[in-house]
Amino acid sequence: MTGAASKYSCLFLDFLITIPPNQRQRMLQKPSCAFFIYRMLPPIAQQVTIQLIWKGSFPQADDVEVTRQIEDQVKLLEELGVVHRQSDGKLAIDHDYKRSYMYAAMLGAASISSLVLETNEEKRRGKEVEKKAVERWDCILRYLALPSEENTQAVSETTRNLFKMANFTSGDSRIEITTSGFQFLLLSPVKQMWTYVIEYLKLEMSQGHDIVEVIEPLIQIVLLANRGYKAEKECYQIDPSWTGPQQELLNHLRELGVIFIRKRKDGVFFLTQLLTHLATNETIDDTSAEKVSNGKVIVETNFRVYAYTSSLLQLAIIALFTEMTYRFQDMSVGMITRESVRGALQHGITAAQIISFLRANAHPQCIATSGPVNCLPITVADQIRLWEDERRRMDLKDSYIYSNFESDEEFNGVCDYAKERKILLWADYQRKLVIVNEEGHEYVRQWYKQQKSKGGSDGR
Amino acid sequence: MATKDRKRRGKWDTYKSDDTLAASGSGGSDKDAAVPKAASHNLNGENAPPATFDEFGAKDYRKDMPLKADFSARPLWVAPDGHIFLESFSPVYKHARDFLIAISEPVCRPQHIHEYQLTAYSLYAAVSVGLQTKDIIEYLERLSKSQLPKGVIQFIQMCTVSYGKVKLVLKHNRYFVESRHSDVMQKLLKDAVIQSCILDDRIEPAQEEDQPTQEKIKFSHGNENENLDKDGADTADGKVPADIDEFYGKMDGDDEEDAEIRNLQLLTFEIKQETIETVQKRCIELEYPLLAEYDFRNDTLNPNLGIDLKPSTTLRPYQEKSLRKMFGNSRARSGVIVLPCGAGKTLVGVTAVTTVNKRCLVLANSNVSVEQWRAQFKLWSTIQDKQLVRFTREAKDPAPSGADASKPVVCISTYSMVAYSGRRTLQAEEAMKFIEKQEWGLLLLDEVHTIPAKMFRRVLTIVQAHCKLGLTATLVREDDKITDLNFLIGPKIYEANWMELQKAGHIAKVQCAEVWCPMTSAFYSYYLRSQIARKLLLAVMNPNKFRICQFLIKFHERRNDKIIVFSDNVFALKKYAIEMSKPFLYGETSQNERMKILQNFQYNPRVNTIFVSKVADTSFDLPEANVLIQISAHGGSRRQEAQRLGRILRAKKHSTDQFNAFFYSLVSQDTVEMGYSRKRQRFLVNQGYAYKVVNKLPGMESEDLKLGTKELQLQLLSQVLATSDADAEEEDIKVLLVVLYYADYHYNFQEELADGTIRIARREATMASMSGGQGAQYHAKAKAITERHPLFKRFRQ
Repeated sequence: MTGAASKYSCLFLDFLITIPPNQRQRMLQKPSCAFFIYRMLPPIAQQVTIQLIWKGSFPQADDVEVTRQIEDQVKLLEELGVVHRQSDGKLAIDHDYKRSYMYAAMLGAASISSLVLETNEEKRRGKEVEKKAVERWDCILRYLALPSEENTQAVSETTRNLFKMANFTSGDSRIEITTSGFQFLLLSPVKQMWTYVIEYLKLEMSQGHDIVEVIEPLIQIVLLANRGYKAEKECYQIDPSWTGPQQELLNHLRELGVIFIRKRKDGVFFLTQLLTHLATNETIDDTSAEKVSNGKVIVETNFRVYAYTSSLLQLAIIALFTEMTYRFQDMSVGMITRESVRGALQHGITAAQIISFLRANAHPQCIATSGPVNCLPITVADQIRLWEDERRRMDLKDSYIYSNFESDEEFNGVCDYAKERKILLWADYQRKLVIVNEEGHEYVRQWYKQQKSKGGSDGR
Repeated sequence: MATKDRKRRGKWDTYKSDDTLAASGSGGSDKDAAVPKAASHNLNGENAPPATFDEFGAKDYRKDMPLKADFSARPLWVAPDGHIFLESFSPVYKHARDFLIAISEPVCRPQHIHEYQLTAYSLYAAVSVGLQTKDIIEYLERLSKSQLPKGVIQFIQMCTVSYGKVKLVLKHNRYFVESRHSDVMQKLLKDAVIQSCILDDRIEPAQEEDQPTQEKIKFSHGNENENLDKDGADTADGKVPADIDEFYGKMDGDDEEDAEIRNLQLLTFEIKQETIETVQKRCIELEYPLLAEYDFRNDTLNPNLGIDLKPSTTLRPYQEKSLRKMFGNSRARSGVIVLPCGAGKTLVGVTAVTTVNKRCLVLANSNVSVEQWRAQFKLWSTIQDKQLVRFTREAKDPAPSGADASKPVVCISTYSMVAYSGRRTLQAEEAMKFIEKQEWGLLLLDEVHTIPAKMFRRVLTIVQAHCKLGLTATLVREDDKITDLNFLIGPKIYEANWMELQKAGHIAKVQCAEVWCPMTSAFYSYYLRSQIARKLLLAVMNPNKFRICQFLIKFHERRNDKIIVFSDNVFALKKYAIEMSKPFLYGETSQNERMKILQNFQYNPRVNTIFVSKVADTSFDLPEANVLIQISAHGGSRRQEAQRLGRILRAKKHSTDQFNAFFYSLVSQDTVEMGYSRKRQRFLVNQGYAYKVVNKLPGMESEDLKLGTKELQLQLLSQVLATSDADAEEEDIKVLLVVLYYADYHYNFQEELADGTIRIARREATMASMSGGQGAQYHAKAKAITERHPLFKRFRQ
């Protein structure tokens, strides 16, 4: 559902596997889509694809381990429809895919898009594009993290529906965040954005729209990320011939902050830095993209948390598993306690998610002194995992306890019967208590019925 | 408390009774009398604005603390409730650090962000080392990222304005009250009580003639480059805001009084010697507590000791810094110096003695540490044997008599010896008379946190000293008694940062681990049904704990490590040690045997492991030891944990970046030990230590360990269930001593077990053996020990 459960650790590819084969085939025919799929593939799958395109075969590995890895990747390619296993057992590349990939490779990523670049005129210049883009994205996350009247107004109805469909929120009048919603908040920005986009595509599909029609412009825009940004100067024309769903997509990307449109009537859009999140191949590197940037959280060995941020959203996320104690303008202080972490665990957030969140957001100072893993003190990470483990130590099963027996015979009778049936879990001969497992209850009832004729009753 | 005291009547209860208090001059209830009213203020009270809370439940100070424009260059957040947060990675960190140590209490000092708290006591201490109210506010303002909250400014003013204005100085063996603030003097002189104490009615305005030459006191040979370093570093980074840098220089030279204040006339009046206590008490009531200073250079009546540090002795920078604070204005201030265990407290003490160079009385808390003090004096200083007098239960050097009686000496004794109020032997009586008769230049109090205030008062009534210096590693404030000590001895003069000493290699780099030992099911089922005392014993005797302990010992012995195993529980101590054939020592072990075992541990390569009870918690100097395993402990005492860690903190020879010492705390899973363990760790965790939780030890399966079979484990269980009563009996006479000696330990215990406190408190008294109260053995009369483990015979040869 969310990135954590992703099969090939790339949400886009996972989604592609699920769409109907005929639609997928249409996608493979589009050069931009073929090119983008290639970009999102894991490295080994990329090699396999290239070899198959140019040589028609790929060499076998000697190593068992490597062979197994290659097989995994081939399986992925088969599921995507990029390669097919022929009747003789050999692998062959899909013809449509080969043609579109070659086409795209020859022309280059940017040229295959049908989008028209326009040099920006003075009056339409986008101001503070980056800042506004981040604000947009924060708005969406804030709606999820801190449901309130004000935050609800800030997002579109589609987004609200989308989160509801994705099971991130529940409740009609009073919105409440669900377990998956919490998990979504802790994901890396790349995963968050892809999750959102995929959920959007699913929503479109469920409404019966043609999915390829929507994916193609999406991919074309994402591919533009490679051209680099001149947000202040360059913009792209919005093609008036685009269909309704395509226009709608544009609106959505605008809401996400991935593109910037000053006014609809300008007929142009700008690209923003956030677009890189969508263009990043997460299979290659999960965290490095944002790692270097601007982590803000210091976690100390004594479980104190210092967050150098005034962003309500960041604080809201940290407060999920931290007991906040001080709030200053540029910094907040908190404490990771057993209770606070257990609270988060009860919401369905996992220890691994908390730990990876703290690592991904570590303050540069922590990374400088302790490296990218130890920036979160090992003892703290261990302890968070132990708190999670201690919840698993107890295995709860339903069972039935019988007490208040009228006589010793009755107690012994139930006891013996339960032993015989192998449903007895525990019995105390002094206090006259018997516990049987869940299925056992029915047997004991039957046993009682049989005994009833002789006169006996129970209390449960 | 009163009812409890009555129950434990014995010769020790004299400390609790009122006559002692009356004699000590503070009279009445000890709580209110000795502490100025301002000290009871805190920022959580009326001064702090009612805190607002943000949507996450945190105190929201955004409105109170608008940021300055250049906030990122400044290292502090000063919250209106007195908590201060310091960025340790700020370029002005070192400017802020020394200053904050002087004016506030460190709450926690891990790697990146340190937390301090302003308290009335800490500000009192700041004033007494010579800081002025306006300088404190000014510098704090400059270091802060935002404007100082008004409440904090008011608090600092309230706590400091009246402090430090008046000094009690002993000059030429006459006591003077002196001050440069005429308004304060007027107020004091108008007071009827003080009037009655004045020796001469005349006020002497001009006593300037022998202004002490303000020469700096030097402590060691060739450690002058410290200041140079600092200057070099300062110029290196240009990011320091100018106003902070400029102020820093001023703060660093804080021992000189402010020029404008110095220009004021020094006013003095002399008071009668016998009324000192009255004057001190009255001044506290008037909110002008007297700072006691000893002008030892101008003390001609008491002869000099004539000793010095050996030329080979060098002081480490932090030792020198702490002493500079003490002897700041070329007089000796009374106070407490806080250094981690193993960081060389003794050397600081010895240096203080050689600096004052007058008669000195050193009080330690065990006979073993008396011996260690003696050895250290001989090691570091040029003192001669005849100048060293020991006075303990076991080693009584004859008190100097005849012509020697007036010669200055360094006398080393224990608290219990001096404070003892029962009958003494003739020899002891003479020695006590000697101590009482002398006018001591310096009273050195080792491990000062261990003595309850009342015992300390008793010591003060007996000993006449010009200056008092307390030494400790853990001035942990569990109760008000410790803060009382602040006013009885003096403020905290210096407190070192553990992590920084560790980084500099002055103390060992310790890996702390909490090892989880699962309870066996048989033990656990009894555990669930038992009373608390038995629960603790079952948790300690958990066979898995035994096996893990044995495994760790074997592992470290192979690495040629020296291992100390601590157990508060004597039954467990014996059982473990005998089972593993290791020597052990506890309360009943005689002094002679203790010394033998410790010597063997130090020098005999075949003795690598010893088992000790809590007698070894403090002051056992075992420089070789680098592994410590704790199998049972005293409830949730943070102090004990820190003291124990101190046993292995002495810097190791091969210091590298790696951990070179190991501290294991074995905890039985799912028992009360888990909760205690967490509480015990708080102090060290706040010093920046990290406990690694270990719940699986690789390689344990392949090791040949005892108690492997179910039969053996059940056998052990039956022994545990059978022996506890007899065990309690064995220790019955010490019960009283235990409770009183550890009076403040006891307090912790109650505090930390909020549920059922009373029952638990009683357990302390009746089941000493369970909690391992044998620490009080220093004063128990030597009784013939009939049964002795055969191992000791081996060590005797």
